Amino acid sequence: MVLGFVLLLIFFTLVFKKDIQTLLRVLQIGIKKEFTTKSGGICIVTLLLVAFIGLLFISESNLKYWYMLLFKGRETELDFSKAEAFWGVIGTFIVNCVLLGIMRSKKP
Amino acid sequence: MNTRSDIGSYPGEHGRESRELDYEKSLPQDVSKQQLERLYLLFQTLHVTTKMEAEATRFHVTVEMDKTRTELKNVIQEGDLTVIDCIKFNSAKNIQLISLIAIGTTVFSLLISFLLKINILNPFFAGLFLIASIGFYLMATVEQKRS
Repeated sequence: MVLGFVLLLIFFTLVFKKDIQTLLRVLQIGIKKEFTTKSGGICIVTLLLVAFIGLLFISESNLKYWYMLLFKGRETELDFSKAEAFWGVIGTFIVNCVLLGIMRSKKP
Repeated sequence: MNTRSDIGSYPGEHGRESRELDYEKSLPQDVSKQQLERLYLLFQTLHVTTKMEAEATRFHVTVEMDKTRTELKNVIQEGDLTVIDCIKFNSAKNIQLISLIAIGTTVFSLLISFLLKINILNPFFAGLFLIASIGFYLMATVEQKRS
């Protein structure tokens, strides 16, 4: 499985070399701009809001009750851990940085 | 039987006179002919100006569209083009559009969950994703205003 994953990684790196390079450059610009611009600030505030609401729902049983009451149906359980919520927020942050980097980098 | 003078809309000389008289009667007393002429001239000038402005705007839009098309053609003709390069072209608008699609999808999913109790997406994740998408949209709007 590990070998397959490594082979797949090598394949993707070779085929999409240019894309990966562009993505990394864009990410670098985005991370810089995330903490220095107004739009970056908006995104950080949004992410903090998402993290806060997520943690609130995980820890507060009252909110869980209301949530279940409002959206009663299949797959409504809040069966995810704090670690999952953390990685979700980190993932959103990376996407955010990429988008900001795309907007702030030079046009082709 | 109607005589010729009774018919107001008849295009004869007499009929036209009577129509003009009726028109003058219907006007307020304090409006003179001179004022009317001035108003007419003003309206004519305004009409011409608006027409010219419309023409100029149309010309401007056409030029802009040609410019954009040329830019796009140049971008497409470049050899090593990545997906990110394509998004970079008018990037703020693209991100706004993607965010709006995400917002629409999550709102739809939440509405269906709330009303029919059928969860297309997990409502909790849909809610969080909605907030994040709104953030992306705001970010793109701010960037668009900046540029």
